[in-house]
Amino acid sequence: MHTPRSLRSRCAPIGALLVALLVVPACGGGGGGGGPEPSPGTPAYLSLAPKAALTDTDVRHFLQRTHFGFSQPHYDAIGQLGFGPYVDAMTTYADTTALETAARNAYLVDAQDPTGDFPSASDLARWWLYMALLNENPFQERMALHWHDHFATSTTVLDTANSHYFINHVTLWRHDGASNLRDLLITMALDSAMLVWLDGISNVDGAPNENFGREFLELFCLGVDVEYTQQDIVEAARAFTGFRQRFDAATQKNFIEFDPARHDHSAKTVLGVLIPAQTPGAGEVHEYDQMVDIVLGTNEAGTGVSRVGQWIIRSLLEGFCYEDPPQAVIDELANDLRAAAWDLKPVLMKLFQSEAFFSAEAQAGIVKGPIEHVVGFTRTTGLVGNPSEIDRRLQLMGNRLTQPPTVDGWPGGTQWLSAQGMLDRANLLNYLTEQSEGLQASLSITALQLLPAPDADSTATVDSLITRLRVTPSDAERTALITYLDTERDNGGVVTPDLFDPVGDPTEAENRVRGLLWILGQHPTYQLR
Amino acid sequence: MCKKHLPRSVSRRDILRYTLAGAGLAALGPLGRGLIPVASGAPIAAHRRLVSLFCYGGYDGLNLLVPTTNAAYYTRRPSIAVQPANALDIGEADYRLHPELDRIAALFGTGEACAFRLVGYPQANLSHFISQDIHSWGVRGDFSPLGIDESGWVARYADLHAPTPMGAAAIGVGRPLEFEGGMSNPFMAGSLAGFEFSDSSIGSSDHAHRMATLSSVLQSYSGDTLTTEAKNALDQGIQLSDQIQLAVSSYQDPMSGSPFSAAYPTSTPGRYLRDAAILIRGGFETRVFMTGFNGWDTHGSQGNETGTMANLIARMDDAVGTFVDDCKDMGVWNDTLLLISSEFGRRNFENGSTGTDHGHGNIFFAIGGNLSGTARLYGPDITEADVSGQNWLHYEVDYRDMFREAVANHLGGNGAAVFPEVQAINTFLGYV
Repeated sequence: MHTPRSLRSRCAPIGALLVALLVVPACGGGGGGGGPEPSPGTPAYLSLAPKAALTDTDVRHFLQRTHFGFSQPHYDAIGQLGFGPYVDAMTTYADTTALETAARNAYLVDAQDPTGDFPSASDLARWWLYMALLNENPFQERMALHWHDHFATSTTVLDTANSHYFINHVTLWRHDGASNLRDLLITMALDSAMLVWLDGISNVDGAPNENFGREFLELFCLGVDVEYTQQDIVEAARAFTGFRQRFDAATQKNFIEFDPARHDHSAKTVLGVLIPAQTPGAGEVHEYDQMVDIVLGTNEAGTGVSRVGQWIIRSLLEGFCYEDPPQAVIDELANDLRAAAWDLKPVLMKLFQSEAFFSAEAQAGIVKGPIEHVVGFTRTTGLVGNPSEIDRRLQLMGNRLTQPPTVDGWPGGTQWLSAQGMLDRANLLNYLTEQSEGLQASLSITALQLLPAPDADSTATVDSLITRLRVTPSDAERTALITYLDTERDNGGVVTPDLFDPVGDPTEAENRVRGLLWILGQHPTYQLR
Repeated sequence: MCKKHLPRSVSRRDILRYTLAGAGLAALGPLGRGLIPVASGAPIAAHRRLVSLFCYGGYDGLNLLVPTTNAAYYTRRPSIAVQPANALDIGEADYRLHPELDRIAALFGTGEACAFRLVGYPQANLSHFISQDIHSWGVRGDFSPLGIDESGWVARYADLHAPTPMGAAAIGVGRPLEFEGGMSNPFMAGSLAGFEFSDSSIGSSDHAHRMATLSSVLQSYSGDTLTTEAKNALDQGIQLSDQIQLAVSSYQDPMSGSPFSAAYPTSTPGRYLRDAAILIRGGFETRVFMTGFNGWDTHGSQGNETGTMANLIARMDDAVGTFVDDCKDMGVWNDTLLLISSEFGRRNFENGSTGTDHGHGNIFFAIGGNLSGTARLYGPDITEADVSGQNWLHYEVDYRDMFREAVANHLGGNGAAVFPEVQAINTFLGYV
């Protein structure tokens, strides 16, 4: 029922993207400071004390982990504002209405669907990808992606009448990703897309459906077999009964409502806490926020550390810091999170400024997923592609925004490093570094803009680009890359030495830099973040 | 983005290489890495093959192999039970197959298919992800008492018996945990047709130039564990993409290719099994194929003879049936065994949304040209008490007996080394 949006998506979004890639982010100042004193006896990877002085490498590491990759304007803004104030500003999300309006106009609204309430699955994926590529605060999008992976929900269960649920779903992660965990958990649990995805709308009194109850405990809040039993799942499922989906003929849209008649009003005991029986009838209310408070009240025996705190902090550390987070770091931040009445911002600020975050263990690298790979490459080089084409390829690579494969999110880690996965990355970078789309040409985006100086030679160019992309070749590899820039190869395959000359032959130099970027994008070290 | 399930103390990233304790296999050197695979276009290799088709999500075995005389089954499943008159006769008095399993039912009739009842593992775990991991590892408890590092069962098999880059292949399932650990470097593809490098539009000479530079960079590359994984994967892509494309085009050749090239359904399992057939016909030496597809987590609106699950079954049946025909045409059917399994079975009773929640004991299938047993059904009978008195089927046959016999008796491998854990229940099946 929707017209193709190819023309639209080839023009408006890209123009805005160019602006977004070059603009200095609007960061508010102020804040920061405080925090515990560094403790000299603690190894850096265990220390949440603020790191005293950041090196150039540290700042690039920070951008890699939190901004998808290097970006000169953000790098400069850190220098101008100071690191603490920058992290404060980054975790205080500015109004992004302009970006959302542009995305909505580009992907959700068209002549057949002027309200934008009937998006297709592709519309939704591209709408979000567009914002991930453009947002002047990349952290906001990186954080949203993190929660999308943790509370993984997919558009695959939605249809024309209820696909609009996913707009609110994405907006939750994008707007409130650094807000309050308790609020997030409640909103997530009651989210319409979630209620469809994990069968909340078919979970009724007398015949509970355990799907959401299980994943709420297992995947979202506590971790596998932590504190809960099968009986807790059964009881939780009963507490989660009562919602149903209905169709509104006037709007042609589905909506979800709480129906007391479908709710199990008898008492439940979840994780040892009693949810009292309710009086049956119209006054009956759902028990979702009680359920959230019950899990938030679950602590580890002996230590008293919050179990939800541990699970959420572990997830954040695995996403942003290191894959095997030490228990001491998990527990300290989990305690901080509860002490902050579940506000995420102070915990995130502490983490991103900590010695642990910049420790050698944390900088050792985490495998990039395809979304991180392509969004990072685009943001780092400025070489843009059509979001629709990028989305098509991400779908093939099994990492489409809006469609995690299961409620467990994406497998991640080395599972991305298959031969097929590497070929797909190479081919996506081929698309971004080629010029056949004409987008980059029409917007005067050139790879030569990345040169350290307009007349930079091959050595200076290679050194600048490997620093920018955080590729770390050996001396021999670096020499091979320099030689590549200083070589011409004709159609017959004959290779001739020919010095890189961006002033004298900018067309040839442009092609060689694009080829170099393609090679750097395949480098083993570029596959890590 | 990290996998959330780390049920053991060690993360996947740090999985140490499976140690080949004692064996003289060290003489093989760095197993797999850098070995040149058998060139595509070679004659079809004469060796046994095992294809594992895993149904992600936990399929409802009771609706695949229907216990048609079990009153409790019908009592507890008022809307989703498959009625006896609609189910397919396989010559068993008390069991019939779901009506969408028509091609597999025919194989039951010719002694080329069998089923296993009450299959599971000790200490049921109702989490999809833990249960999938248990199946992938082939180990239920800890690895430490076994004297080996964490590894998937295919990785252990490949190290011992198929250490070349094409010795084991994962198709369409990313890099499954079955392949983690070990020293071999199994082949992993999403789609063989897409297994190639795109040329640069700037000009093919530039593509050749940058490929040459990339290869020379990779040759001198030496890094840590993670980046070496990336390098190996890319190396494999570069080495194999031309051969894979040759195999794809040969398979599709209207004159000399497979007569079943266009016969496969375009469903996910259809595409994956077709890719497996391409590798076989292409002459690659692949011993173990790992593939699968999801959608089986039927918590709601599961359906009965028709509906959600019936559609999944039809997709599986059509894909398997075509693959069997293709293998017969290639003359490799007597060397081929296909196992169908899933992480767990489901509840004995339907829930309020006419679906089924997670359970445990399940029904698995084996299909092959050289099944040795005469039985169509293995494992104990599913009694009324099994269905009426329990939330889910218990297990009496350890799934590893089924896989171990496939490794030992079909592939001729060291079943005890691939599945080394002492089991609470051991069953000699003798099906292959």
